[in-house]
Amino acid sequence: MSPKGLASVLKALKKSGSVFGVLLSKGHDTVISDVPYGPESVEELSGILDDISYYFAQEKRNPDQLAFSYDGGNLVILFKGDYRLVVLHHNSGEADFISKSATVFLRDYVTGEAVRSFKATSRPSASVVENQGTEGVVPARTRTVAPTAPIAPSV
Amino acid sequence: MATVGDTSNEQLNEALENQSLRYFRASRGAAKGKTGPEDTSRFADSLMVLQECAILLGEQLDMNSVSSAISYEGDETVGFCFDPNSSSQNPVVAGGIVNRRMPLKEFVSSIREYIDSQ
Repeated sequence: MSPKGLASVLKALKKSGSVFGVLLSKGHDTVISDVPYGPESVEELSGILDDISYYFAQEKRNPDQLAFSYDGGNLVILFKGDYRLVVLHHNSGEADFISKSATVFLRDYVTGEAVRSFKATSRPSASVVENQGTEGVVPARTRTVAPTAPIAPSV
Repeated sequence: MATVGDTSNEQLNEALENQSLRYFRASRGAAKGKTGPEDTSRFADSLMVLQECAILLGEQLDMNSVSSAISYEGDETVGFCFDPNSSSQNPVVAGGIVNRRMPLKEFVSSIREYIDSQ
């Protein structure tokens, strides 16, 4: 996904209902941080997401979505591969709608990243060489394709 | 995840077949349910992990007391709500497991109805 496309989708997600924060991380790296907390808190939150993944892994479980409701707000956490998306919102009644929007955002982002990664590792671009052959001779077709990069499974 | 026919518990089998919510209550470190000890134990394990996560996140984000926590894993939804009628010294939790992805709103309102019916 291009930075412009990402910004546009992110803006749409942030405008979904009562959303007041979005945090996307990949492993220990913060990809997008648009939350009302300082950098230290964001780093600590990423650490907590690690802990959460660890707790569930210890129970041999692998949730793809968590939702918490508090007196002071609500949050939805989505897991997809190494990616974790946290969406903070005020209105608990909007949780399903926000979860859907967040799922679409994460799916688009991860798919976009997979395509971008594929394009980057496929250069020089795939080339096709076709020998035209001559009359009476069966044309030989030689196809040369650059090695393919692994693509993340589709959402 | 429990599947139909995995168990001899009639209530569990019926709930799995109908994809209906299996309800549990927990207080003072003990969980109770009607779908057998294994199912209740699964709920208790999920409850402990979710509670731990809820506390960590709540403290970090200054969001005060947790009212509900839900997890989705494949086609299973597990979660809990605090019983608002219970005291802070002896909090009671009601929760459930269902073998489908139940919308959050539906899940929470089902648990609340269960709490009110107790």
